[in-house]
Amino acid sequence: MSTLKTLTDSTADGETPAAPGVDPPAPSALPLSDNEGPADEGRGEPSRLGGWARSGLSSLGWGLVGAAVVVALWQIGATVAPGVPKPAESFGKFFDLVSDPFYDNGPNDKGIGLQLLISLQRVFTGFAIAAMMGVPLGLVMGSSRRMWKAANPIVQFLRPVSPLAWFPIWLVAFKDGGKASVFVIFITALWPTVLNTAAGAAGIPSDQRDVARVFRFGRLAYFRHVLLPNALPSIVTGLRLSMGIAWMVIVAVEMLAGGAGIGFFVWDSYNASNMPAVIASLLIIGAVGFALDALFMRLAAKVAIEEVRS
Amino acid sequence: MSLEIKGISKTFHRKGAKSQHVLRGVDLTVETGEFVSLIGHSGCGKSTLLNVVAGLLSADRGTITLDGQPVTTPGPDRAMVFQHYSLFPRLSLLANVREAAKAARPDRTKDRLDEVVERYLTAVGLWEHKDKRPGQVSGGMAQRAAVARAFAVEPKVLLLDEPFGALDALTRARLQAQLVELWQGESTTETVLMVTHGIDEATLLADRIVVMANPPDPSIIDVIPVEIARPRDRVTVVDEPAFREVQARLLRLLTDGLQAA
Repeated sequence: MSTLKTLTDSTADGETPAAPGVDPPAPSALPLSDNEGPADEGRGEPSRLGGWARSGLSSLGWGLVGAAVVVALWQIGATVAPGVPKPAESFGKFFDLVSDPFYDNGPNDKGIGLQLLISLQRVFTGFAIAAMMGVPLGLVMGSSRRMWKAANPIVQFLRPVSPLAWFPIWLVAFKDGGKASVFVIFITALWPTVLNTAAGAAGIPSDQRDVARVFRFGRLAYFRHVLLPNALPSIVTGLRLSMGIAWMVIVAVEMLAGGAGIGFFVWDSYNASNMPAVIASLLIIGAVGFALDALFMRLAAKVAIEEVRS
Repeated sequence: MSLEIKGISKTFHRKGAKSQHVLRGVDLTVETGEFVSLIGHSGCGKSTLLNVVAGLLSADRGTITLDGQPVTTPGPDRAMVFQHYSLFPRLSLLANVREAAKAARPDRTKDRLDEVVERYLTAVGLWEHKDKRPGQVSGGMAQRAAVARAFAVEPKVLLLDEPFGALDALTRARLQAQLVELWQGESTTETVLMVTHGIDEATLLADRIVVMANPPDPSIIDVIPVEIARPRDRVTVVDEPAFREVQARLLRLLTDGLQAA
Protein backbone atom coordinates (compact mmCIF):
# COMPACT_ATOMS: atom_id res chain seq x y z
CA MET A 1 0.00 0.00 0.00
CA SER A 2 2.81 2.42 0.66
CA THR A 3 2.96 4.19 -2.65
CA LEU A 4 6.06 6.17 -1.84
CA LYS A 5 8.54 3.84 -0.28
CA THR A 6 11.11 6.60 -0.26
CA LEU A 7 9.01 8.59 2.15
CA THR A 8 9.69 6.20 5.00
CA ASP A 9 10.39 8.12 8.14
CA SER A 10 13.74 7.23 9.57
CA THR A 11 13.17 8.48 13.08
CA ALA A 12 15.56 6.29 14.97
CA ASP A 13 14.50 4.90 18.28
CA GLY A 14 16.30 6.80 20.99
CA GLU A 15 19.49 4.90 21.51
CA THR A 16 20.38 5.32 25.10
CA PRO A 17 23.96 6.29 25.79
CA ALA A 18 25.48 4.02 28.36
CA ALA A 19 26.83 5.73 31.41
CA PRO A 20 30.60 5.94 31.45
CA GLY A 21 32.30 3.12 33.22
CA VAL A 22 29.26 0.91 33.21
CA ASP A 23 29.61 -2.59 31.99
CA PRO A 24 27.08 -3.23 29.26
CA PRO A 25 24.42 -5.76 30.15
CA ALA A 26 25.86 -9.12 29.31
CA PRO A 27 23.97 -10.87 26.56
CA SER A 28 22.33 -13.82 28.19
CA ALA A 29 23.51 -16.30 25.65
CA LEU A 30 23.45 -19.30 27.94
CA PRO A 31 21.52 -22.09 26.32
CA LEU A 32 18.82 -22.23 29.00
CA SER A 33 16.70 -24.30 26.73
CA ASP A 34 14.10 -25.19 29.34
CA ASN A 35 13.44 -21.55 30.07
CA GLU A 36 12.45 -19.86 26.86
CA GLY A 37 9.05 -18.61 27.90
CA PRO A 38 5.64 -19.91 26.98
CA ALA A 39 5.73 -18.38 23.50
CA ASP A 40 7.82 -21.23 22.22
CA GLU A 41 6.07 -23.98 24.11
CA GLY A 42 5.55 -27.08 22.08
CA ARG A 43 6.96 -25.55 18.96
CA GLY A 44 10.36 -27.14 19.17
CA GLU A 45 10.95 -29.45 16.27
CA PRO A 46 12.05 -32.95 17.20
CA SER A 47 15.41 -32.39 15.53
CA ARG A 48 16.08 -29.44 17.82
CA LEU A 49 16.22 -31.61 20.91
CA GLY A 50 18.76 -33.82 19.20
CA GLY A 51 20.66 -30.68 18.21
CA TRP A 52 20.81 -29.51 21.80
CA ALA A 53 21.99 -32.91 22.99
CA ARG A 54 24.63 -33.08 20.31
CA SER A 55 25.92 -29.57 21.00
CA GLY A 56 25.83 -30.33 24.73
CA LEU A 57 27.90 -33.47 24.24
CA SER A 58 30.34 -31.62 22.04
CA SER A 59 30.73 -28.86 24.66
CA LEU A 60 31.33 -31.45 27.34
CA GLY A 61 33.88 -33.31 25.24
CA TRP A 62 35.90 -30.23 24.36
CA GLY A 63 35.64 -29.00 27.95
CA LEU A 64 37.20 -32.26 29.11
CA VAL A 65 39.96 -31.89 26.53
CA GLY A 66 40.75 -28.40 27.83
CA ALA A 67 40.74 -29.58 31.44
CA ALA A 68 43.05 -32.48 30.57
CA VAL A 69 45.54 -30.09 28.95
CA VAL A 70 45.52 -27.86 32.03
CA VAL A 71 46.03 -30.81 34.40
CA ALA A 72 48.87 -32.10 32.23
CA LEU A 73 50.61 -28.71 32.29
CA TRP A 74 50.06 -28.60 36.04
CA GLN A 75 51.64 -32.04 36.40
CA ILE A 76 54.69 -30.87 34.43
CA GLY A 77 54.92 -27.67 36.47
CA ALA A 78 54.68 -29.56 39.76
CA THR A 79 57.43 -31.93 38.63
CA VAL A 80 59.73 -29.03 37.71
CA ALA A 81 58.99 -26.82 40.73
CA PRO A 82 59.32 -28.53 44.07
CA GLY A 83 56.78 -27.51 46.69
CA VAL A 84 53.93 -27.24 44.21
CA PRO A 85 51.51 -30.07 44.98
CA LYS A 86 50.83 -32.54 42.21
CA PRO A 87 47.33 -32.89 40.77
CA ALA A 88 46.80 -36.34 42.27
CA GLU A 89 47.71 -35.11 45.73
CA SER A 90 45.46 -32.07 45.40
CA PHE A 91 42.47 -34.01 44.14
CA GLY A 92 42.99 -36.48 46.97
CA LYS A 93 42.90 -33.62 49.46
CA PHE A 94 39.85 -32.21 47.70
CA PHE A 95 37.91 -35.43 48.19
CA ASP A 96 39.16 -35.57 51.76
CA LEU A 97 37.81 -32.12 52.44
CA VAL A 98 34.44 -32.60 50.81
CA SER A 99 33.90 -36.04 52.33
CA ASP A 100 33.56 -34.55 55.82
CA PRO A 101 32.71 -30.90 55.28
CA PHE A 102 30.81 -30.09 58.47
CA TYR A 103 32.98 -31.24 61.37
CA ASP A 104 33.64 -28.69 64.06
CA ASN A 105 36.59 -29.12 66.41
CA GLY A 106 36.51 -25.70 67.98
CA PRO A 107 37.22 -22.28 66.50
CA ASN A 108 40.50 -23.24 64.82
CA ASP A 109 39.48 -26.44 63.16
CA LYS A 110 36.28 -26.44 61.15
CA GLY A 111 35.24 -28.44 58.09
CA ILE A 112 35.40 -26.80 54.68
CA GLY A 113 31.61 -26.76 54.44
CA LEU A 114 31.29 -24.71 57.62
CA GLN A 115 33.97 -22.29 56.40
CA LEU A 116 32.14 -21.94 53.10
CA LEU A 117 28.86 -21.29 54.87
CA ILE A 118 30.47 -18.56 56.96
CA SER A 119 31.88 -16.90 53.83
CA LEU A 120 28.63 -17.26 51.92
CA GLN A 121 26.71 -15.76 54.79
CA ARG A 122 29.05 -12.77 54.87
CA VAL A 123 28.86 -12.35 51.11
CA PHE A 124 25.09 -12.53 51.03
CA THR A 125 24.69 -10.15 53.98
CA GLY A 126 27.00 -7.53 52.49
CA PHE A 127 25.48 -8.10 49.05
CA ALA A 128 21.94 -7.71 50.41
CA ILE A 129 22.75 -4.43 52.15
CA ALA A 130 24.41 -3.19 48.96
CA ALA A 131 21.39 -4.18 46.89
CA MET A 132 18.95 -2.55 49.30
CA MET A 133 20.89 0.71 49.14
CA GLY A 134 22.33 0.50 45.66
CA VAL A 135 19.17 -0.24 43.67
CA PRO A 136 17.14 2.71 45.03
CA LEU A 137 20.17 5.00 44.74
CA GLY A 138 20.77 3.84 41.18
CA LEU A 139 17.12 4.33 40.23
CA VAL A 140 17.19 7.88 41.59
CA MET A 141 20.50 8.63 39.88
CA GLY A 142 19.26 7.27 36.59
CA SER A 143 15.95 9.11 36.71
CA SER A 144 17.15 12.54 37.71
CA ARG A 145 19.85 14.44 35.90
CA ARG A 146 20.57 16.47 39.02
CA MET A 147 20.97 13.44 41.22
CA TRP A 148 23.22 11.94 38.58
CA LYS A 149 25.40 15.04 38.59
CA ALA A 150 25.47 15.09 42.37
CA ALA A 151 26.25 11.44 42.98
CA ASN A 152 28.22 10.33 39.95
CA PRO A 153 31.52 12.07 40.80
CA ILE A 154 31.54 10.48 44.26
CA VAL A 155 30.75 7.06 42.85
CA GLN A 156 33.38 7.36 40.13
CA PHE A 157 35.92 8.52 42.71
CA LEU A 158 35.27 5.73 45.20
CA ARG A 159 34.74 2.97 42.66
CA PRO A 160 38.42 2.42 41.77
CA VAL A 161 39.40 2.23 45.45
CA SER A 162 40.05 -1.37 46.39
CA PRO A 163 37.31 -2.50 48.76
CA LEU A 164 40.07 -3.91 50.96
CA ALA A 165 41.23 -0.37 51.70
CA TRP A 166 37.97 0.03 53.60
CA PHE A 167 38.81 -2.84 55.91
CA PRO A 168 40.62 -0.77 58.59
CA ILE A 169 37.77 1.75 58.62
CA TRP A 170 35.15 -0.92 59.18
CA LEU A 171 37.40 -2.64 61.71
CA VAL A 172 37.62 0.57 63.71
CA ALA A 173 33.89 1.06 63.36
CA PHE A 174 32.82 -2.47 64.35
CA LYS A 175 35.81 -3.78 66.26
CA ASP A 176 35.07 -7.17 64.74
CA GLY A 177 36.78 -8.81 61.77
CA GLY A 178 33.66 -10.67 60.68
CA LYS A 179 31.44 -7.59 60.59
CA ALA A 180 34.18 -5.60 58.91
CA SER A 181 34.37 -8.29 56.21
CA VAL A 182 30.64 -8.00 55.62
CA PHE A 183 30.97 -4.28 55.07
CA VAL A 184 33.94 -4.70 52.77
CA ILE A 185 31.63 -6.90 50.70
CA PHE A 186 28.97 -4.22 50.95
CA ILE A 187 31.37 -1.67 49.43
CA THR A 188 32.42 -4.20 46.80
CA ALA A 189 28.87 -4.89 45.70
CA LEU A 190 27.65 -1.32 45.93
CA TRP A 191 29.28 0.30 42.89
CA PRO A 192 28.37 -2.15 40.14
CA THR A 193 24.83 -2.30 41.52
CA VAL A 194 24.45 1.48 41.61
CA LEU A 195 25.98 2.13 38.20
CA ASN A 196 24.15 -0.61 36.34
CA THR A 197 20.84 0.26 37.95
CA ALA A 198 21.39 3.91 37.05
CA ALA A 199 22.19 2.99 33.46
CA GLY A 200 19.01 0.93 33.29
CA ALA A 201 16.90 3.70 34.75
CA ALA A 202 18.45 6.25 32.40
CA GLY A 203 17.82 4.04 29.42
CA ILE A 204 14.03 3.90 29.56
CA PRO A 205 12.88 3.92 25.92
CA SER A 206 11.54 7.37 25.09
CA ASP A 207 8.34 5.93 23.65
CA GLN A 208 7.53 4.31 26.98
CA ARG A 209 8.06 7.61 28.73
CA ASP A 210 5.74 9.22 26.18
CA VAL A 211 3.09 6.58 26.84
CA ALA A 212 3.32 7.29 30.55
CA ARG A 213 2.92 11.00 29.89
CA VAL A 214 0.07 10.74 27.38
CA PHE A 215 -1.88 8.45 29.69
CA ARG A 216 -0.87 10.58 32.67
CA PHE A 217 0.67 7.89 34.84
CA GLY A 218 1.17 8.96 38.43
CA ARG A 219 4.48 8.50 40.20
CA LEU A 220 3.58 5.10 41.56
CA ALA A 221 2.23 3.78 38.26
CA TYR A 222 5.32 5.11 36.47
CA PHE A 223 7.58 3.36 38.95
CA ARG A 224 5.68 0.07 38.75
CA HIS A 225 5.04 -0.11 35.04
CA VAL A 226 7.83 1.87 33.40
CA LEU A 227 10.86 2.50 35.58
CA LEU A 228 11.27 -0.75 37.46
CA PRO A 229 10.36 -3.19 34.65
CA ASN A 230 12.69 -1.47 32.20
CA ALA A 231 15.56 -1.18 34.65
CA LEU A 232 15.21 -4.75 35.88
CA PRO A 233 17.57 -6.44 33.39
CA SER A 234 20.28 -3.88 34.15
CA ILE A 235 19.68 -4.27 37.87
CA VAL A 236 20.18 -8.00 37.60
CA THR A 237 23.32 -7.46 35.53
CA GLY A 238 24.62 -5.15 38.24
CA LEU A 239 23.82 -7.66 40.94
CA ARG A 240 25.48 -10.42 38.99
CA LEU A 241 28.68 -8.42 38.53
CA SER A 242 28.55 -7.46 42.22
CA MET A 243 28.22 -11.04 43.29
CA GLY A 244 31.09 -12.11 41.07
CA ILE A 245 33.47 -9.52 42.51
CA ALA A 246 32.18 -10.05 46.06
CA TRP A 247 33.04 -13.72 45.84
CA MET A 248 36.57 -12.82 44.78
CA VAL A 249 37.00 -10.17 47.47
CA ILE A 250 35.69 -12.31 50.33
CA VAL A 251 38.69 -14.62 50.03
CA ALA A 252 41.10 -11.70 50.27
CA VAL A 253 39.32 -9.98 53.12
CA GLU A 254 39.10 -13.17 55.15
CA MET A 255 42.83 -13.65 54.73
CA LEU A 256 43.16 -10.23 56.36
CA ALA A 257 40.47 -10.71 58.97
CA GLY A 258 41.40 -14.21 60.01
CA GLY A 259 39.39 -16.42 62.32
CA ALA A 260 36.90 -18.03 59.95
CA GLY A 261 35.74 -18.33 56.40
CA ILE A 262 37.10 -19.87 53.22
CA GLY A 263 39.72 -17.15 52.80
CA PHE A 264 40.99 -17.80 56.28
CA PHE A 265 41.04 -21.51 55.48
CA VAL A 266 43.29 -20.90 52.48
CA TRP A 267 45.68 -18.74 54.48
CA ASP A 268 45.64 -21.11 57.43
CA SER A 269 46.44 -24.05 55.16
CA TYR A 270 49.34 -22.10 53.68
CA ASN A 271 50.67 -21.36 57.15
CA ALA A 272 50.40 -25.04 57.98
CA SER A 273 52.35 -25.76 54.79
CA ASN A 274 49.39 -27.76 53.56
CA MET A 275 49.59 -26.83 49.88
CA PRO A 276 47.26 -29.54 48.60
CA ALA A 277 44.58 -28.03 50.86
CA VAL A 278 45.24 -24.60 49.33
CA ILE A 279 44.72 -26.00 45.83
CA ALA A 280 41.71 -28.01 46.92
CA SER A 281 40.07 -24.89 48.37
CA LEU A 282 40.84 -23.10 45.13
CA LEU A 283 38.81 -25.73 43.29
CA ILE A 284 35.97 -25.35 45.77
CA ILE A 285 35.98 -21.55 45.57
CA GLY A 286 35.83 -21.81 41.80
CA ALA A 287 32.93 -24.24 41.88
CA VAL A 288 30.91 -22.05 44.26
CA GLY A 289 31.63 -18.94 42.20
CA PHE A 290 30.53 -20.76 39.06
CA ALA A 291 27.30 -21.85 40.75
CA LEU A 292 26.57 -18.33 41.99
CA ASP A 293 27.07 -16.90 38.51
CA ALA A 294 24.87 -19.56 36.95
CA LEU A 295 22.17 -18.61 39.44
CA PHE A 296 22.27 -14.99 38.36
CA MET A 297 22.40 -15.93 34.68
CA ARG A 298 19.20 -17.83 35.22
CA LEU A 299 17.67 -14.84 36.95
CA ALA A 300 18.79 -12.62 34.07
CA ALA A 301 17.09 -14.90 31.57
CA LYS A 302 13.90 -14.72 33.64
CA VAL A 303 13.79 -10.93 33.70
CA ALA A 304 14.79 -10.36 30.07
CA ILE A 305 12.34 -8.18 28.14
CA GLU A 306 10.52 -9.89 25.29
CA GLU A 307 9.95 -8.02 22.08
CA VAL A 308 6.79 -8.00 20.01
CA ARG A 309 6.96 -10.66 17.32
CA SER A 310 6.72 -9.06 13.93
CA MET B 1 -16.47 23.13 18.94
CA SER B 2 -13.23 21.98 17.49
CA LEU B 3 -9.52 21.53 17.77
CA GLU B 4 -7.88 24.82 16.88
CA ILE B 5 -4.20 25.06 16.08
CA LYS B 6 -3.09 28.68 15.79
CA GLY B 7 0.30 30.03 14.79
CA ILE B 8 2.28 27.07 16.12
CA SER B 9 6.04 27.37 15.68
CA LYS B 10 8.67 25.01 16.92
CA THR B 11 12.43 25.17 16.53
CA PHE B 12 14.83 22.45 17.58
CA HIS B 13 18.26 23.58 18.74
CA ARG B 14 20.98 21.03 18.40
CA LYS B 15 24.54 21.31 19.57
CA GLY B 16 26.89 21.82 16.67
CA ALA B 17 24.11 21.94 14.07
CA LYS B 18 21.94 24.64 12.60
CA SER B 19 18.69 25.28 14.42
CA GLN B 20 15.82 23.58 12.68
CA HIS B 21 12.63 25.55 12.29
CA VAL B 22 10.44 22.49 12.05
CA LEU B 23 7.08 24.19 12.37
CA ARG B 24 6.48 27.72 11.12
CA GLY B 25 3.20 29.35 12.00
CA VAL B 26 0.94 26.36 11.58
CA ASP B 27 -2.76 27.19 11.47
CA LEU B 28 -5.29 24.40 11.28
CA THR B 29 -8.80 23.92 12.54
CA VAL B 30 -10.09 20.39 12.88
CA GLU B 31 -13.83 20.27 13.27
CA THR B 32 -15.41 17.93 15.76
CA GLY B 33 -16.21 14.67 14.03
CA GLU B 34 -13.58 15.14 11.38
CA PHE B 35 -10.86 12.68 10.37
CA VAL B 36 -7.78 14.63 9.32
CA SER B 37 -4.55 13.15 7.98
CA LEU B 38 -1.19 14.88 8.11
CA ILE B 39 1.07 13.81 5.28
CA GLY B 40 4.56 14.79 4.23
CA HIS B 41 8.15 13.71 3.95
CA SER B 42 10.36 12.78 6.84
CA GLY B 43 11.38 15.84 8.77
CA CYS B 44 8.41 17.97 7.74
CA GLY B 45 7.30 18.24 11.32
CA LYS B 46 4.08 16.24 11.11
CA SER B 47 4.97 14.11 14.11
CA THR B 48 6.20 17.19 15.93
CA LEU B 49 2.84 18.84 15.36
CA LEU B 50 1.06 15.73 16.64
CA ASN B 51 3.25 15.69 19.74
CA VAL B 52 2.48 19.35 20.39
CA VAL B 53 -1.24 18.61 20.14
CA ALA B 54 -0.73 15.65 22.48
CA GLY B 55 1.00 17.93 24.96
CA LEU B 56 4.24 15.95 24.82
CA LEU B 57 6.11 18.91 23.31
CA SER B 58 5.54 22.58 23.95
CA ALA B 59 5.47 24.98 21.04
CA ASP B 60 7.70 28.03 20.93
CA ARG B 61 4.82 30.18 19.74
CA GLY B 62 1.14 29.74 19.11
CA THR B 63 -1.79 28.15 20.87
CA ILE B 64 -3.82 25.00 20.70
CA THR B 65 -7.35 24.94 22.01
CA LEU B 66 -9.74 22.03 22.24
CA ASP B 67 -13.37 23.11 22.52
CA GLY B 68 -12.15 26.49 23.70
CA GLN B 69 -9.85 25.10 26.38
CA PRO B 70 -6.12 25.77 25.91
CA VAL B 71 -4.00 22.63 25.60
CA THR B 72 -0.46 22.64 26.99
CA THR B 73 -0.05 19.25 28.68
CA PRO B 74 -1.35 15.74 28.02
CA GLY B 75 -4.93 15.28 29.10
CA PRO B 76 -7.74 12.72 29.05
CA ASP B 77 -9.43 14.60 26.19
CA ARG B 78 -6.67 13.32 23.89
CA ALA B 79 -5.19 9.84 23.51
CA MET B 80 -2.46 8.64 21.22
CA VAL B 81 -1.50 5.56 19.26
CA PHE B 82 2.25 5.35 18.75
CA GLN B 83 4.16 4.11 15.75
CA HIS B 84 5.79 1.12 17.44
CA TYR B 85 2.93 -0.16 19.63
CA SER B 86 4.71 1.06 22.75
CA LEU B 87 3.05 -1.45 25.02
CA PHE B 88 4.61 -2.36 28.31
CA PRO B 89 6.30 -5.70 27.66
CA ARG B 90 5.76 -7.18 31.11
CA LEU B 91 2.02 -6.49 31.29
CA SER B 92 -0.71 -8.51 29.64
CA LEU B 93 -2.64 -6.82 26.84
CA LEU B 94 -5.51 -6.41 29.28
CA ALA B 95 -3.29 -4.81 31.91
CA ASN B 96 -1.73 -2.55 29.29
CA VAL B 97 -5.14 -1.19 28.29
CA ARG B 98 -6.50 -1.13 31.82
CA GLU B 99 -3.56 0.59 33.52
CA ALA B 100 -3.41 3.31 30.87
CA ALA B 101 -7.16 3.88 30.91
CA LYS B 102 -7.16 3.96 34.69
CA ALA B 103 -4.27 6.42 34.90
CA ALA B 104 -5.69 8.72 32.25
CA ARG B 105 -9.21 8.73 33.67
CA PRO B 106 -9.10 8.23 37.43
CA ASP B 107 -12.58 9.74 37.63
CA ARG B 108 -14.28 6.57 36.36
CA THR B 109 -15.52 3.87 38.70
CA LYS B 110 -13.94 0.44 38.62
CA ASP B 111 -17.03 -1.10 37.03
CA ARG B 112 -17.11 1.55 34.34
CA LEU B 113 -13.38 1.11 33.71
CA ASP B 114 -13.70 -2.66 33.40
CA GLU B 115 -16.65 -2.30 31.05
CA VAL B 116 -14.85 0.14 28.77
CA VAL B 117 -11.67 -1.95 28.70
CA GLU B 118 -13.62 -5.07 27.81
CA ARG B 119 -15.65 -3.24 25.17
CA TYR B 120 -12.63 -1.96 23.24
CA LEU B 121 -10.53 -5.08 23.61
CA THR B 122 -13.52 -7.01 22.24
CA ALA B 123 -14.01 -4.46 19.48
CA VAL B 124 -10.48 -4.98 18.21
CA GLY B 125 -10.88 -8.75 18.56
CA LEU B 126 -8.40 -9.25 21.36
CA TRP B 127 -10.62 -10.19 24.29
CA GLU B 128 -9.71 -13.86 24.01
CA HIS B 129 -6.02 -12.94 23.87
CA LYS B 130 -6.23 -10.47 26.72
CA ASP B 131 -3.93 -12.41 29.03
CA LYS B 132 -1.07 -12.61 26.55
CA ARG B 133 1.88 -10.33 26.83
CA PRO B 134 2.96 -8.15 23.88
CA GLY B 135 5.92 -10.46 23.27
CA GLN B 136 3.53 -13.33 22.66
CA VAL B 137 1.51 -11.69 19.91
CA SER B 138 2.11 -10.39 16.42
CA GLY B 139 2.77 -6.77 15.53
CA GLY B 140 -0.78 -6.39 14.23
CA MET B 141 -2.26 -7.65 17.48
CA ALA B 142 0.04 -5.42 19.49
CA GLN B 143 -1.06 -2.39 17.52
CA ARG B 144 -4.71 -3.39 17.96
CA ALA B 145 -4.09 -3.41 21.69
CA ALA B 146 -2.56 0.04 21.41
CA VAL B 147 -5.65 1.23 19.52
CA ALA B 148 -7.90 -0.27 22.19
CA ARG B 149 -5.79 1.42 24.85
CA ALA B 150 -6.30 4.82 23.24
CA PHE B 151 -10.05 4.36 22.72
CA ALA B 152 -10.49 3.09 26.29
CA VAL B 153 -9.54 6.54 27.57
CA GLU B 154 -12.68 7.76 25.75
CA PRO B 155 -10.90 10.84 24.45
CA LYS B 156 -12.49 13.56 22.36
CA VAL B 157 -9.56 13.49 19.99
CA LEU B 158 -7.58 10.47 18.89
CA LEU B 159 -4.00 11.12 17.78
CA LEU B 160 -2.33 8.51 15.57
CA ASP B 161 1.37 8.65 14.73
CA GLU B 162 1.92 6.46 11.67
CA PRO B 163 0.07 3.72 13.48
CA PHE B 164 0.15 1.12 10.74
CA GLY B 165 3.50 1.91 9.16
CA ALA B 166 5.25 -1.11 10.64
CA LEU B 167 2.61 -3.63 9.58
CA ASP B 168 2.27 -5.73 6.46
CA ALA B 169 -0.25 -4.60 3.85
CA LEU B 170 -3.02 -7.08 4.70
CA THR B 171 -2.84 -6.45 8.42
CA ARG B 172 -2.75 -2.74 7.75
CA ALA B 173 -5.90 -2.90 5.64
CA ARG B 174 -7.75 -4.80 8.35
CA LEU B 175 -6.69 -2.36 11.04
CA GLN B 176 -7.62 0.64 8.94
CA ALA B 177 -11.13 -0.73 8.53
CA GLN B 178 -11.34 -1.49 12.23
CA LEU B 179 -10.22 2.02 13.12
CA VAL B 180 -12.85 3.67 10.94
CA GLU B 181 -15.50 1.36 12.32
CA LEU B 182 -14.61 2.27 15.90
CA TRP B 183 -14.42 5.95 15.12
CA GLN B 184 -17.80 6.01 13.36
CA GLY B 185 -19.48 3.43 15.52
CA GLU B 186 -19.44 2.62 19.15
CA SER B 187 -16.70 4.89 20.40
CA THR B 188 -17.33 8.33 21.86
CA THR B 189 -14.25 9.61 20.08
CA GLU B 190 -15.27 11.97 17.35
CA THR B 191 -12.17 13.61 16.02
CA VAL B 192 -9.10 11.88 14.60
CA LEU B 193 -5.76 13.41 13.70
CA MET B 194 -3.50 10.94 11.97
CA VAL B 195 0.09 11.27 10.80
CA THR B 196 0.91 9.05 7.85
CA HIS B 197 3.17 8.84 4.87
CA GLY B 198 0.88 6.55 2.97
CA ILE B 199 -1.00 8.33 0.20
CA ASP B 200 -3.50 5.49 -0.11
CA GLU B 201 -4.03 5.40 3.62
CA ALA B 202 -4.65 9.14 3.85
CA THR B 203 -7.06 9.14 0.91
CA LEU B 204 -8.97 6.12 2.12
CA LEU B 205 -9.42 7.27 5.69
CA ALA B 206 -9.44 11.05 5.89
CA ASP B 207 -12.04 13.75 5.39
CA ARG B 208 -9.24 16.21 4.78
CA ILE B 209 -5.58 15.73 4.05
CA VAL B 210 -3.10 18.30 5.30
CA VAL B 211 0.04 18.26 3.17
CA MET B 212 3.16 19.42 4.93
CA ALA B 213 6.50 20.40 3.43
CA ASN B 214 10.01 20.26 4.75
CA PRO B 215 11.56 23.43 6.13
CA PRO B 216 12.31 26.08 4.93
CA ASP B 217 9.02 25.92 3.02
CA PRO B 218 5.91 26.92 4.94
CA SER B 219 4.76 24.01 7.05
CA ILE B 220 1.36 23.50 5.47
CA ILE B 221 1.40 23.70 1.69
CA ASP B 222 -2.08 22.44 0.98
CA VAL B 223 -5.26 21.09 2.53
CA ILE B 224 -7.10 18.67 0.29
CA PRO B 225 -10.70 17.71 1.03
CA VAL B 226 -11.57 14.10 0.25
CA GLU B 227 -15.18 14.19 -0.84
CA ILE B 228 -15.96 10.52 -0.99
CA ALA B 229 -19.04 9.18 0.76
CA ARG B 230 -18.61 6.76 3.64
CA PRO B 231 -18.52 3.87 4.13
CA ARG B 232 -15.62 3.66 1.73
CA ASP B 233 -14.81 0.28 0.32
CA ARG B 234 -11.11 -0.08 -0.26
CA VAL B 235 -11.69 -2.10 -3.43
CA THR B 236 -14.28 0.07 -5.17
CA VAL B 237 -13.09 3.40 -3.86
CA VAL B 238 -10.18 3.42 -6.28
CA ASP B 239 -12.63 3.75 -9.17
CA GLU B 240 -14.08 6.96 -7.81
CA PRO B 241 -12.92 10.00 -9.80
CA ALA B 242 -12.57 11.95 -6.56
CA PHE B 243 -10.15 9.33 -5.20
CA ARG B 244 -7.94 9.51 -8.28
CA GLU B 245 -8.04 13.27 -8.28
CA VAL B 246 -6.90 13.46 -4.66
CA GLN B 247 -4.16 10.91 -5.27
CA ALA B 248 -2.85 12.75 -8.29
CA ARG B 249 -2.81 16.00 -6.41
CA LEU B 250 -1.00 14.43 -3.46
CA LEU B 251 1.57 12.78 -5.67
CA ARG B 252 2.27 16.01 -7.47
CA LEU B 253 2.72 17.93 -4.24
CA LEU B 254 4.92 15.32 -2.61
CA THR B 255 7.13 14.59 -5.59
CA ASP B 256 7.61 18.34 -6.24
CA GLY B 257 8.93 18.48 -2.73
CA LEU B 258 11.32 15.64 -3.53
CA GLN B 259 12.75 17.32 -6.60
CA ALA B 260 13.27 20.56 -4.75
CA ALA B 261 15.13 18.78 -1.99
